[in-house]
Amino acid sequence: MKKSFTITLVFCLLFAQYLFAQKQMRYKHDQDGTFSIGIRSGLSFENSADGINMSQGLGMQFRIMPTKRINTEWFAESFHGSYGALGVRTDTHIGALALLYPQRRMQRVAPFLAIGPNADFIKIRDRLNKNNFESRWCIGAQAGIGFHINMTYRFDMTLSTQYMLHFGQPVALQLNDGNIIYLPHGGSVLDGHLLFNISFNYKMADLWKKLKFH
Amino acid sequence: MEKVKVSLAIIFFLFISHSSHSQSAGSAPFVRKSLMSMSGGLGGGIFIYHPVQNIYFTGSFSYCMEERIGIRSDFYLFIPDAAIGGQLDRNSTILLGPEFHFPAGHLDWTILFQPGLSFSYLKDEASTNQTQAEPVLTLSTGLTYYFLHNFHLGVNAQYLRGNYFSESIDRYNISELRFTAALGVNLFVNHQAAYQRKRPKF
Repeated sequence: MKKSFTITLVFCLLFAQYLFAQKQMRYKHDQDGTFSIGIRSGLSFENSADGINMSQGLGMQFRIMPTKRINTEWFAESFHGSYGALGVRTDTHIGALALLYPQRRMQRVAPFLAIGPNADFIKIRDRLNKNNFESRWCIGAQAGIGFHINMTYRFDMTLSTQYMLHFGQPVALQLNDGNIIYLPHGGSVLDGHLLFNISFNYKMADLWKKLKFH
Repeated sequence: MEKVKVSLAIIFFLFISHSSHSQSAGSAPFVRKSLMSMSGGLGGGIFIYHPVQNIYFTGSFSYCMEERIGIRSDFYLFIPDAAIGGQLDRNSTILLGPEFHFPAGHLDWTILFQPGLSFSYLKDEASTNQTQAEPVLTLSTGLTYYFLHNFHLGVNAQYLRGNYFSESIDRYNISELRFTAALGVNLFVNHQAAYQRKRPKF
Protein backbone atom coordinates (compact mmCIF):
# COMPACT_ATOMS: atom_id res chain seq x y z
CA MET A 1 0.00 0.00 0.00
CA LYS A 2 2.79 2.38 1.03
CA LYS A 3 4.75 1.42 -2.05
CA SER A 4 1.89 2.19 -4.42
CA PHE A 5 1.23 5.49 -2.63
CA THR A 6 4.89 6.46 -2.98
CA ILE A 7 4.93 5.55 -6.68
CA THR A 8 1.77 7.61 -7.26
CA LEU A 9 3.28 10.56 -5.43
CA VAL A 10 6.50 10.36 -7.43
CA PHE A 11 4.57 10.30 -10.71
CA CYS A 12 2.44 13.28 -9.65
CA LEU A 13 5.57 15.26 -8.84
CA LEU A 14 7.25 14.25 -12.06
CA PHE A 15 4.44 15.33 -14.31
CA ALA A 16 3.20 18.32 -12.34
CA GLN A 17 5.65 20.66 -14.02
CA TYR A 18 4.46 19.59 -17.47
CA LEU A 19 0.99 20.91 -16.93
CA PHE A 20 1.81 24.61 -17.19
CA ALA A 21 4.98 24.58 -19.25
CA GLN A 22 3.62 24.40 -22.77
CA LYS A 23 2.21 26.90 -25.24
CA GLN A 24 -1.41 26.68 -26.21
CA MET A 25 -2.32 24.74 -29.30
CA ARG A 26 -3.55 27.14 -31.98
CA TYR A 27 -7.10 26.13 -32.73
CA LYS A 28 -8.68 28.25 -35.39
CA HIS A 29 -12.18 27.75 -34.07
CA ASP A 30 -12.75 24.91 -31.67
CA GLN A 31 -11.44 21.54 -30.56
CA ASP A 32 -13.62 19.63 -32.97
CA GLY A 33 -11.70 18.50 -36.00
CA THR A 34 -8.62 17.61 -34.00
CA PHE A 35 -6.65 14.78 -35.52
CA SER A 36 -4.19 12.91 -33.29
CA ILE A 37 -2.08 9.80 -33.54
CA GLY A 38 -0.72 7.59 -30.82
CA ILE A 39 0.72 4.34 -29.67
CA ARG A 40 -0.91 2.03 -27.22
CA SER A 41 0.01 -0.86 -25.00
CA GLY A 42 -2.05 -2.92 -22.67
CA LEU A 43 -2.94 -6.03 -20.79
CA SER A 44 -5.75 -8.43 -21.52
CA PHE A 45 -7.31 -10.82 -19.01
CA GLU A 46 -9.33 -13.79 -20.16
CA ASN A 47 -10.70 -16.91 -18.57
CA SER A 48 -9.66 -20.43 -19.50
CA ALA A 49 -10.21 -23.87 -18.04
CA ASP A 50 -7.01 -23.43 -15.98
CA GLY A 51 -7.95 -20.00 -14.61
CA ILE A 52 -7.34 -16.41 -15.60
CA ASN A 53 -4.66 -15.70 -18.19
CA MET A 54 -2.91 -12.45 -18.90
CA SER A 55 -1.74 -11.33 -22.34
CA GLN A 56 0.42 -8.38 -23.21
CA GLY A 57 -0.11 -6.26 -26.27
CA LEU A 58 0.71 -3.26 -28.34
CA GLY A 59 -0.81 -1.25 -31.14
CA MET A 60 -1.37 2.07 -32.83
CA GLN A 61 -4.31 4.41 -33.15
CA PHE A 62 -5.54 7.69 -34.48
CA ARG A 63 -8.36 9.93 -33.37
CA ILE A 64 -10.65 12.32 -35.18
CA MET A 65 -12.84 14.52 -33.03
CA PRO A 66 -16.08 15.32 -34.90
CA THR A 67 -17.71 17.40 -32.15
CA LYS A 68 -16.75 18.94 -28.83
CA ARG A 69 -18.34 16.14 -26.81
CA ILE A 70 -17.55 13.14 -29.02
CA ASN A 71 -14.23 11.77 -30.18
CA THR A 72 -13.58 8.76 -32.40
CA GLU A 73 -10.66 6.42 -31.97
CA TRP A 74 -9.50 4.03 -34.70
CA PHE A 75 -7.07 1.38 -33.59
CA ALA A 76 -5.21 -1.80 -34.42
CA GLU A 77 -3.64 -3.86 -31.67
CA SER A 78 -2.41 -7.34 -30.90
CA PHE A 79 -2.27 -9.26 -27.63
CA HIS A 80 -0.15 -12.34 -27.07
CA GLY A 81 -0.10 -14.64 -24.05
CA SER A 82 -0.71 -18.06 -22.65
CA TYR A 83 -4.13 -19.72 -22.75
CA GLY A 84 -4.30 -22.27 -19.99
CA ALA A 85 -1.39 -24.59 -19.38
CA LEU A 86 -1.33 -26.01 -22.90
CA GLY A 87 -2.12 -23.18 -25.30
CA VAL A 88 -0.86 -19.86 -26.59
CA ARG A 89 -3.41 -17.26 -27.67
CA THR A 90 -3.00 -14.30 -30.01
CA ASP A 91 -5.76 -11.70 -30.35
CA THR A 92 -5.64 -9.07 -33.06
CA HIS A 93 -8.21 -6.27 -32.97
CA ILE A 94 -9.02 -3.70 -35.62
CA GLY A 95 -11.74 -1.40 -34.45
CA ALA A 96 -13.25 1.94 -33.70
CA LEU A 97 -14.46 3.58 -30.54
CA ALA A 98 -16.69 6.51 -29.83
CA LEU A 99 -15.41 8.43 -26.82
CA LEU A 100 -18.17 10.37 -25.11
CA TYR A 101 -17.10 13.23 -22.84
CA PRO A 102 -19.39 14.35 -20.02
CA GLN A 103 -17.51 17.65 -19.63
CA ARG A 104 -18.60 20.73 -21.55
CA ARG A 105 -15.09 21.49 -22.67
CA MET A 106 -11.86 19.56 -22.48
CA GLN A 107 -10.19 19.75 -19.08
CA ARG A 108 -6.75 18.75 -17.88
CA VAL A 109 -8.20 15.40 -16.85
CA ALA A 110 -10.97 14.35 -19.20
CA PRO A 111 -13.00 11.24 -18.33
CA PHE A 112 -14.89 9.46 -21.06
CA LEU A 113 -17.22 6.61 -21.81
CA ALA A 114 -16.03 4.40 -24.67
CA ILE A 115 -18.11 2.13 -26.87
CA GLY A 116 -17.55 0.64 -30.29
CA PRO A 117 -17.32 -2.32 -32.65
CA ASN A 118 -14.25 -4.21 -33.83
CA ALA A 119 -13.07 -7.04 -36.00
CA ASP A 120 -11.20 -9.70 -34.10
CA PHE A 121 -8.77 -12.40 -35.22
CA ILE A 122 -8.05 -15.12 -32.67
CA LYS A 123 -5.37 -17.75 -33.04
CA ILE A 124 -4.83 -20.52 -30.52
CA ARG A 125 -1.87 -22.82 -30.86
CA ASP A 126 -0.43 -25.82 -29.12
CA ARG A 127 2.35 -24.80 -26.77
CA LEU A 128 4.51 -27.69 -27.94
CA ASN A 129 3.88 -27.36 -31.64
CA LYS A 130 3.67 -24.05 -33.50
CA ASN A 131 2.17 -25.67 -36.56
CA ASN A 132 -0.82 -27.04 -34.67
CA PHE A 133 -3.25 -24.13 -34.40
CA GLU A 134 -6.83 -23.01 -34.95
CA SER A 135 -7.92 -19.50 -35.86
CA ARG A 136 -11.04 -17.53 -36.66
CA TRP A 137 -12.23 -14.08 -37.66
CA CYS A 138 -15.24 -12.65 -35.87
CA ILE A 139 -16.88 -9.38 -35.00
CA GLY A 140 -16.88 -7.98 -31.51
CA ALA A 141 -18.00 -5.05 -29.43
CA GLN A 142 -16.45 -3.30 -26.49
CA ALA A 143 -17.43 -0.77 -23.90
CA GLY A 144 -15.68 0.80 -20.97
CA ILE A 145 -14.45 3.91 -19.26
CA GLY A 146 -11.22 5.86 -19.20
CA PHE A 147 -9.66 9.28 -18.96
CA HIS A 148 -7.18 11.46 -20.78
CA ILE A 149 -4.49 13.29 -18.87
CA ASN A 150 -3.75 16.27 -21.10
CA MET A 151 -0.10 16.86 -20.20
CA THR A 152 0.15 19.68 -22.71
CA TYR A 153 -2.30 21.14 -25.20
CA ARG A 154 -1.06 18.72 -27.80
CA PHE A 155 0.04 15.66 -25.84
CA ASP A 156 -2.08 13.36 -23.73
CA MET A 157 -1.78 10.10 -21.88
CA THR A 158 -4.92 7.97 -21.87
CA LEU A 159 -5.80 5.19 -19.47
CA SER A 160 -8.85 3.06 -20.10
CA THR A 161 -10.46 -0.22 -19.21
CA GLN A 162 -12.98 -2.01 -21.41
CA TYR A 163 -14.74 -5.31 -21.68
CA MET A 164 -14.73 -6.81 -25.17
CA LEU A 165 -17.22 -9.40 -26.35
CA HIS A 166 -16.59 -11.62 -29.40
CA PHE A 167 -19.48 -12.96 -31.43
CA GLY A 168 -18.01 -15.93 -33.24
CA GLN A 169 -18.05 -19.66 -33.61
CA PRO A 170 -16.44 -21.70 -30.79
CA VAL A 171 -12.91 -22.93 -31.45
CA ALA A 172 -11.63 -26.38 -30.52
CA LEU A 173 -7.95 -27.25 -30.85
CA GLN A 174 -6.96 -30.91 -30.75
CA LEU A 175 -3.53 -31.31 -29.14
CA ASN A 176 -1.03 -33.99 -30.01
CA ASP A 177 -1.41 -35.62 -26.59
CA GLY A 178 -5.17 -36.01 -27.03
CA ASN A 179 -6.29 -33.03 -24.96
CA ILE A 180 -8.63 -30.44 -26.47
CA ILE A 181 -8.53 -26.69 -25.83
CA TYR A 182 -11.87 -24.96 -26.15
CA LEU A 183 -12.59 -21.30 -26.72
CA PRO A 184 -14.74 -20.22 -24.94
CA HIS A 185 -13.89 -22.80 -22.36
CA GLY A 186 -17.43 -22.94 -20.92
CA GLY A 187 -19.01 -23.86 -24.27
CA SER A 188 -20.90 -20.55 -24.51
CA VAL A 189 -21.21 -18.70 -27.81
CA LEU A 190 -19.99 -15.48 -26.24
CA ASP A 191 -16.33 -15.06 -25.51
CA GLY A 192 -14.76 -11.99 -24.04
CA HIS A 193 -11.87 -10.42 -22.24
CA LEU A 194 -11.09 -7.51 -20.00
CA LEU A 195 -8.67 -4.94 -21.40
CA PHE A 196 -6.52 -2.35 -19.71
CA ASN A 197 -4.93 0.11 -22.11
CA ILE A 198 -2.47 2.93 -21.83
CA SER A 199 -1.82 5.16 -24.81
CA PHE A 200 0.17 8.28 -25.64
CA ASN A 201 -1.28 10.61 -28.25
CA TYR A 202 -0.14 13.71 -30.07
CA LYS A 203 -2.54 16.16 -31.70
CA MET A 204 -1.30 16.69 -35.23
CA ALA A 205 -3.80 18.99 -36.91
CA ASP A 206 -7.10 20.81 -36.84
CA LEU A 207 -8.82 19.18 -39.79
CA TRP A 208 -11.97 21.29 -39.84
CA LYS A 209 -10.32 24.70 -39.89
CA LYS A 210 -10.74 25.22 -43.63
CA LEU A 211 -14.30 24.04 -43.64
CA LYS A 212 -15.77 26.63 -41.31
CA PHE A 213 -16.83 30.13 -42.29
CA HIS A 214 -17.56 32.35 -39.32
CA MET B 1 12.09 0.58 6.65
CA GLU B 2 14.91 0.69 4.13
CA LYS B 3 12.43 0.99 1.25
CA VAL B 4 10.65 3.89 2.95
CA LYS B 5 13.97 5.70 3.33
CA VAL B 6 14.79 5.19 -0.33
CA SER B 7 11.33 6.47 -1.32
CA LEU B 8 11.74 9.56 0.85
CA ALA B 9 15.13 10.22 -0.70
CA ILE B 10 13.62 10.03 -4.20
CA ILE B 11 10.80 12.41 -3.28
CA PHE B 12 13.28 14.83 -1.70
CA PHE B 13 15.40 14.72 -4.84
CA LEU B 14 12.36 15.51 -6.96
CA PHE B 15 11.46 18.50 -4.79
CA ILE B 16 15.01 19.79 -5.05
CA SER B 17 15.01 19.39 -8.82
CA HIS B 18 11.70 21.32 -8.96
CA SER B 19 13.08 24.25 -7.01
CA SER B 20 16.37 24.25 -8.91
CA HIS B 21 14.36 24.52 -12.15
CA SER B 22 12.48 27.54 -10.98
CA GLN B 23 15.58 29.35 -9.72
CA SER B 24 17.82 28.77 -12.71
CA ALA B 25 15.61 30.68 -15.10
CA GLY B 26 18.60 32.70 -16.25
CA SER B 27 20.38 29.73 -17.84
CA ALA B 28 17.94 28.20 -20.26
CA PRO B 29 18.16 24.43 -20.60
CA PHE B 30 19.84 23.14 -23.73
CA VAL B 31 17.04 20.68 -24.48
CA ARG B 32 14.05 22.36 -26.05
CA LYS B 33 11.49 21.97 -28.77
CA SER B 34 12.75 20.81 -32.20
CA LEU B 35 15.86 19.07 -30.89
CA MET B 36 16.60 16.02 -33.01
CA SER B 37 19.10 13.42 -31.77
CA MET B 38 20.66 10.22 -32.96
CA SER B 39 22.93 8.01 -30.93
CA GLY B 40 24.66 4.66 -30.94
CA GLY B 41 26.19 2.69 -28.14
CA LEU B 42 26.65 -0.53 -26.29
CA GLY B 43 24.41 -2.13 -23.71
CA GLY B 44 24.28 -4.99 -21.27
CA GLY B 45 21.26 -6.83 -19.94
CA ILE B 46 20.45 -9.23 -17.14
CA PHE B 47 17.41 -11.49 -17.39
CA ILE B 48 15.43 -11.19 -14.19
CA TYR B 49 14.19 -14.79 -14.13
CA HIS B 50 17.19 -16.53 -15.70
CA PRO B 51 20.86 -16.35 -14.70
CA VAL B 52 21.85 -15.04 -18.13
CA GLN B 53 23.52 -11.85 -19.29
CA ASN B 54 23.21 -10.32 -22.76
CA ILE B 55 25.10 -7.77 -24.81
CA TYR B 56 23.53 -5.39 -27.34
CA PHE B 57 24.49 -2.79 -29.89
CA THR B 58 22.04 0.03 -29.36
CA GLY B 59 20.79 2.92 -31.42
CA SER B 60 18.18 5.58 -30.94
CA PHE B 61 16.46 8.41 -32.74
CA SER B 62 14.49 11.09 -30.93
CA TYR B 63 12.73 14.34 -31.68
CA CYS B 64 11.39 16.91 -29.23
CA MET B 65 7.89 17.76 -30.42
CA GLU B 66 7.31 20.02 -27.46
CA GLU B 67 9.52 21.82 -24.95
CA ARG B 68 9.82 18.82 -22.69
CA ILE B 69 8.17 15.95 -24.50
CA GLY B 70 9.58 14.06 -27.42
CA ILE B 71 9.18 10.83 -29.29
CA ARG B 72 11.97 8.30 -29.31
CA SER B 73 12.65 5.06 -31.09
CA ASP B 74 15.30 2.61 -29.90
CA PHE B 75 16.72 -0.58 -31.27
CA TYR B 76 18.74 -3.20 -29.43
CA LEU B 77 20.70 -5.49 -31.68
CA PHE B 78 21.43 -8.70 -29.79
CA ILE B 79 24.99 -10.02 -29.94
CA PRO B 80 24.93 -13.75 -29.16
CA ASP B 81 27.81 -15.23 -27.22
CA ALA B 82 28.30 -18.98 -27.66
CA ALA B 83 30.30 -19.12 -24.43
CA ILE B 84 27.24 -18.17 -22.37
CA GLY B 85 25.01 -21.15 -21.69
CA GLY B 86 21.22 -20.78 -21.60
CA GLN B 87 21.23 -17.61 -23.65
CA LEU B 88 18.60 -17.03 -26.32
CA ASP B 89 19.91 -17.32 -29.86
CA ARG B 90 18.15 -14.13 -30.94
CA ASN B 91 16.69 -11.36 -28.84
CA SER B 92 16.82 -8.05 -30.70
CA THR B 93 14.29 -5.37 -29.79
CA ILE B 94 12.69 -2.29 -31.33
CA LEU B 95 10.86 0.26 -29.19
CA LEU B 96 8.84 3.41 -29.77
CA GLY B 97 7.37 5.79 -27.24
CA PRO B 98 7.27 9.17 -25.56
CA GLU B 99 10.28 10.67 -23.85
CA PHE B 100 9.83 13.10 -20.96
CA HIS B 101 12.69 15.56 -20.44
CA PHE B 102 13.74 17.17 -17.18
CA PRO B 103 16.61 19.40 -18.32
CA ALA B 104 19.00 21.47 -16.21
CA GLY B 105 21.59 23.36 -18.21
CA HIS B 106 23.40 20.92 -20.46
CA LEU B 107 22.21 17.95 -18.44
CA ASP B 108 18.97 16.20 -19.19
CA TRP B 109 17.23 13.58 -17.11
CA THR B 110 14.71 11.57 -19.12
CA ILE B 111 11.94 9.10 -18.46
CA LEU B 112 10.69 6.87 -21.25
CA PHE B 113 7.70 4.61 -21.62
CA GLN B 114 8.14 2.53 -24.74
CA PRO B 115 6.17 -0.44 -25.97
CA GLY B 116 7.78 -2.50 -28.70
CA LEU B 117 8.66 -5.88 -30.11
CA SER B 118 11.34 -8.38 -29.18
CA PHE B 119 12.44 -10.77 -31.90
CA SER B 120 13.25 -13.87 -29.90
CA TYR B 121 14.39 -17.35 -30.81
CA LEU B 122 15.75 -20.29 -28.83
CA LYS B 123 17.05 -23.11 -30.98
CA ASP B 124 16.68 -25.84 -28.35
CA GLU B 125 12.93 -25.35 -28.04
CA ALA B 126 11.88 -24.62 -31.60
CA SER B 127 11.20 -26.96 -34.49
CA THR B 128 11.70 -24.20 -37.07
CA ASN B 129 14.26 -21.48 -37.65
CA GLN B 130 11.61 -18.79 -37.41
CA THR B 131 12.12 -15.81 -35.13
CA GLN B 132 9.07 -14.92 -33.09
CA ALA B 133 7.93 -11.33 -32.49
CA GLU B 134 6.82 -10.84 -28.90
CA PRO B 135 5.22 -7.64 -27.56
CA VAL B 136 7.21 -6.03 -24.77
CA LEU B 137 6.77 -3.04 -22.53
CA THR B 138 9.64 -0.96 -21.19
CA LEU B 139 10.17 1.75 -18.63
CA SER B 140 13.49 3.57 -18.77
CA THR B 141 15.34 6.41 -17.20
CA GLY B 142 18.45 8.10 -18.51
CA LEU B 143 20.88 10.93 -18.03
CA THR B 144 22.31 12.81 -21.01
CA TYR B 145 25.00 15.46 -21.17
CA TYR B 146 25.13 17.76 -24.22
CA PHE B 147 28.47 19.20 -25.26
CA LEU B 148 30.00 21.14 -28.17
CA HIS B 149 26.47 22.07 -29.23
CA ASN B 150 26.05 19.05 -31.50
CA PHE B 151 27.09 16.06 -29.42
CA HIS B 152 25.80 14.23 -26.41
CA LEU B 153 26.75 11.40 -24.12
CA GLY B 154 24.11 9.40 -22.33
CA VAL B 155 23.51 6.52 -19.99
CA ASN B 156 20.24 4.68 -19.67
CA ALA B 157 18.69 2.07 -17.38
CA GLN B 158 15.70 0.11 -18.58
CA TYR B 159 13.23 -2.44 -17.29
CA LEU B 160 11.73 -4.61 -20.02
CA ARG B 161 8.75 -6.89 -19.49
CA GLY B 162 7.81 -9.69 -21.86
CA ASN B 163 7.47 -13.41 -22.51
CA TYR B 164 8.72 -15.66 -25.27
CA PHE B 165 6.40 -18.53 -26.14
CA SER B 166 8.61 -21.10 -27.75
CA GLU B 167 7.63 -24.73 -28.34
CA SER B 168 7.98 -25.63 -24.71
CA ILE B 169 5.46 -26.18 -21.93
CA ASP B 170 7.00 -23.29 -19.96
CA ARG B 171 7.14 -19.79 -21.36
CA TYR B 172 10.55 -18.14 -21.41
CA ASN B 173 10.29 -14.95 -19.38
CA ILE B 174 12.40 -12.36 -21.19
CA SER B 175 11.93 -9.64 -18.57
CA GLU B 176 15.25 -7.92 -18.33
CA LEU B 177 17.19 -5.07 -16.79
CA ARG B 178 19.27 -3.27 -19.39
CA PHE B 179 21.98 -0.66 -19.03
CA THR B 180 23.34 1.27 -21.99
CA ALA B 181 25.90 3.96 -22.70
CA ALA B 182 25.72 5.89 -25.96
CA LEU B 183 27.35 8.72 -27.87
CA GLY B 184 25.33 10.75 -30.31
CA VAL B 185 24.83 13.79 -32.46
CA ASN B 186 22.05 16.35 -32.21
CA LEU B 187 20.77 19.40 -34.04
CA PHE B 188 17.83 21.76 -33.92
CA VAL B 189 15.43 21.65 -36.82
CA ASN B 190 12.40 23.82 -37.72
CA HIS B 191 13.55 26.90 -35.83
CA GLN B 192 10.55 28.84 -37.00
CA ALA B 193 6.96 27.86 -37.34
CA ALA B 194 5.86 27.44 -40.95
CA TYR B 195 3.70 30.56 -41.02
CA GLN B 196 6.60 32.72 -39.72
CA ARG B 197 9.09 31.71 -42.38
CA LYS B 198 9.93 34.17 -45.12
CA ARG B 199 8.66 33.29 -48.52
CA PRO B 200 11.29 33.01 -51.23
CA LYS B 201 11.19 35.80 -53.82
CA PHE B 202 11.49 34.96 -57.47
